[in-house]
Amino acid sequence: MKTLKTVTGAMLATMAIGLALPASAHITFENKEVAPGATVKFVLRLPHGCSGKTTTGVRIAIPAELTSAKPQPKPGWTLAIMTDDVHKASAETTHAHRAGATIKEISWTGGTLEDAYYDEFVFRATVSKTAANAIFVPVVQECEGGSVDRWIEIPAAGGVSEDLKYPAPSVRVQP
Amino acid sequence: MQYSAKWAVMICIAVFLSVFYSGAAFAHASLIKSDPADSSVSDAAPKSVTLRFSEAVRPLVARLIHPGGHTEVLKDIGEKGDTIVFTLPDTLENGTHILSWRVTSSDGHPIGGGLVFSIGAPSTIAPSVEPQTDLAVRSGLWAARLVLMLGLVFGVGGTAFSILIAGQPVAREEWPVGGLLLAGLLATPLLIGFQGLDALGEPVRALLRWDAWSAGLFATGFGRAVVLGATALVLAYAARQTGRRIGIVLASLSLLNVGLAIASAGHAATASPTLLTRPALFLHAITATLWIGALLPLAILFKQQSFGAMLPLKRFSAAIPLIVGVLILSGLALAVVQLRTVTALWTTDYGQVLLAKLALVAALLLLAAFNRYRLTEPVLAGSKTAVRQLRRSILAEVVLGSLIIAALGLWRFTPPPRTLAAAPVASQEITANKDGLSAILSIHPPVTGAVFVEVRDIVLDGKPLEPLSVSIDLDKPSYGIGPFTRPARKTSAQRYRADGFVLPLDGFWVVRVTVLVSEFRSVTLTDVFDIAKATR
Repeated sequence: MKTLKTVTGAMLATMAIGLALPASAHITFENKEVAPGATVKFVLRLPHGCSGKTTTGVRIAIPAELTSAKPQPKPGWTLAIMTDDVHKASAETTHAHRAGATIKEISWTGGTLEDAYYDEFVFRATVSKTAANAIFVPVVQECEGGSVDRWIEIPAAGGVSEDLKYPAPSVRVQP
Repeated sequence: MQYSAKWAVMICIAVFLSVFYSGAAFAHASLIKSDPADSSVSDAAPKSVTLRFSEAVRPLVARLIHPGGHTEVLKDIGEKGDTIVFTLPDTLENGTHILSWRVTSSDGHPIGGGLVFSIGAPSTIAPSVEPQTDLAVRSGLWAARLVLMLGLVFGVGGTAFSILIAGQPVAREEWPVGGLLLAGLLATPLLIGFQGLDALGEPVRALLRWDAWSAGLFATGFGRAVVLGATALVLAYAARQTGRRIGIVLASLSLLNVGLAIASAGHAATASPTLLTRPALFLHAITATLWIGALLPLAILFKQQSFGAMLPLKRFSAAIPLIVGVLILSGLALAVVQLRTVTALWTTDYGQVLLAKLALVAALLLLAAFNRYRLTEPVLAGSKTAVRQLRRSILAEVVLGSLIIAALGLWRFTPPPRTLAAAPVASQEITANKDGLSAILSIHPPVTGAVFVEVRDIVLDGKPLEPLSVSIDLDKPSYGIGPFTRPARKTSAQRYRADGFVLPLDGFWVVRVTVLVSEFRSVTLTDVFDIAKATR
């Protein structure tokens, strides 16, 4: 049907316009899509932030949709994880797996990332089989001088992260 | 379907959708540093204001609002990558100045903000903004808007009537409808230009400059409304050129666009509660367009004295009570929100325009009722005299409809009474809630000038909450002023207060309160304050 063709054409044209826009300057994940039940390497990209100051720490909250989280250590940064049963434990003490302890928070602190540079922070996690739509991972970026940028805003149902000033990075769940 | 029409439709839909996507005007570049700093007080007048952003930006427009209240658009703007320097005039008087700026970030997103600085000491007198637009600009704005509105109501409405209600192919005699579509389309660029002049407070000759056009398109919500209006015109034009089935789709889309255009900007569209006013305005616009728009094709149909006019008349008579019903109900809802009191009808400019409009509408309704209940039946029965009478009466309705549209345009220049509260009250309170969090927001005083915002009784899931932090921003998006952002400090248990706001304009200010519930969770409450003009 011609109408359908016209509308599809318009949609494609719009998408082309949309895709032509440069990628956003927010904190994002390198992966755009994950499958439910899969174990995935998440790469958090830090283009800038901290209002021009040096980034000294990155803390992320692991949402309920992600389990068996395992961060990758980063030279020059102190890695720490916080589980739901132990208040806070360093990476060394939790090296051995303890059943029942779910990681709720990962932090890389004590490093330096100047505003002019770009870096990536990596962790691995298993996506819950029941996950749907999108998974948001709130990130707190600590800055030199004690201030923080909180990339924790999650859009309301039906909204898009683009509208937010400090959107939490997210991945789409694609069954 | 002709190829040209097909392409026109594709482009229009693409423009329409991308305008909606780009509505997200927030993200990306952020202000890192300003000199002088926000809310600073200095002894000597600064020579310039320097803003540094997190990435390269291009300046769009900057307005300096003087302590006396008059607004000046800053011309001398230097840009160098991520830094923008606004050179200030040499003759700054003592008192509080407000700089409202808008820039485009590298990805094309416009962002805006405000900066307050004082020379000598902060002035306590509330600035009141005098009308800045000269008569030529106002007349141009009104005229261009009138032509566009005539194009939308008679052109799109006429097309929608022929295709959707009459269910007939568009007749060759209906060229005035097509002509009005074209006229509306020609008026579109002019309207954008004049809107830019109005937004910047510039004289007509500034139309030669690019910034007037860019401000007309981007600085206020009216730019988007005009683009939507133009899309409606092109869609209606395409609908007239194609076959029946595609015509129905295009005419409906076109009508939808008229509703969206009208509901997307202006006093009524931003009136609280927007959940009521926006749909009401949308329905009001669509029903008015269907009703008034039907008149021109009907008058043309009856010129022929042919029996081809009978079926459309029958269908129109059947549909019109519902259309007028929705029109009146939505209009009533809007009038209640905007007026607040009955006396405002004759004591304010806004009310007088509404009164004039209502008088015209009443005349139109009388004529319509006469046509519907006295003339329609004899006409359908084949009476020649009744046909002549009906045609004359419909032409009179066309004139009345045009007058109503002309009167509507005057509202652009009159603030609604709800913003003109005669005796300013000490504060205005609203309860906002979202995602299980609720709080009472208040603004003191709710008039232009220096104000503070208080947030209290923050409750999360039924339990009182002591948040980690509270931040407040005030924004007047329809005029492209702000947002002004301030952290709130705790004054006592369950009370947070943000000072240092200076509101240069009356009307609606969007308030956003960001409550940091925990390290990794924040909730942003959004609502609207009604700000009255300060009386000196």
